[in-house]
Amino acid sequence: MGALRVEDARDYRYKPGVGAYFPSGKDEIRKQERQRSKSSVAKRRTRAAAQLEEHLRSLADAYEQDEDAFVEVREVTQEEVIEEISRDVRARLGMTLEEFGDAYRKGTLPDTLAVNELVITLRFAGLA
Amino acid sequence: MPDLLEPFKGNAQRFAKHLSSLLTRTLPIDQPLACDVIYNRREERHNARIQLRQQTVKFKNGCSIRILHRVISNPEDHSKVMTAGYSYAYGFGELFKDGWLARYEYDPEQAIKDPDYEYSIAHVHFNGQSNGYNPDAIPKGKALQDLHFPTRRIALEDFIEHLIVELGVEPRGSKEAALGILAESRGGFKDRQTRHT
Repeated sequence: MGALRVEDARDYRYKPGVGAYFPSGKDEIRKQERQRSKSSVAKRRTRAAAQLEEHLRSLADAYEQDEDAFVEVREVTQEEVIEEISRDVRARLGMTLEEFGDAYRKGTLPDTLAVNELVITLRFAGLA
Repeated sequence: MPDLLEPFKGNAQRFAKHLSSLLTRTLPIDQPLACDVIYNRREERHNARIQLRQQTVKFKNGCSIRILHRVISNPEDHSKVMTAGYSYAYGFGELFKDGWLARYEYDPEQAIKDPDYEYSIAHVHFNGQSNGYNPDAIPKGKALQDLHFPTRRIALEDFIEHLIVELGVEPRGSKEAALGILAESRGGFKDRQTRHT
């Protein structure tokens, strides 16, 4: 038997002639009720967890099926990016890659959209 | 580190898809983004570049946008990526010439690599005019469009909302629905920023 609790004590009755307290039976009923209550809470929690899991699964499915938002990932090499930068530097700034590199190191590049995008691309390729 | 390429690719793709989904659900563009990944041997880290597939997208009202976003693996949690730079630009003419109107930029590495850099790492350039502004009257005065107007690090949600609310870019679906999507997503951005920056 576990430790006697105050609320359990109310359910013990003195039995004349026996000289001892015996459980009235109510404590057993209460134990069962508590057990049922715990079991009910556990069931509700399990049901909530299942519902949440189902909700997350449906969100993930919707996310996967969002074909309009498809993003292809391409692995590129530094050589490919250098080639791309070289092309863009010539087209947008009319400079060679070497001239662009020199100007970048000296800090003499103009602050423009083209330069900013090229610098982001340099950083992406580990060149700046 | 190179063996972490596949997980990084997956994380970068998830992030890119989040941005892509944001664009497709609010603006009339399909499959807008492309993502390139590379391993930077010198700095021993993976990098991803996310940009518009067509590089420049022009909407019905004549507004053109460019989006370039760079992410790296989050050093605190390799299952996530973190923003290492962005450039969001728009305008109503040739963006590489005089047609750009605003450029939102974020380049935290510039301040680390260039000790002379003295501007806000997140800022906006505005291609405007002011009758009262005279750069010649200011020591080292710059043309208005070269000024770095400081901002916080803005979210793509802010940029899209600005396009819809103030520049008349037609949203996909109703304006209310688009703004609702952006508001919901912005909550996630703030939460991610709180945890990782």
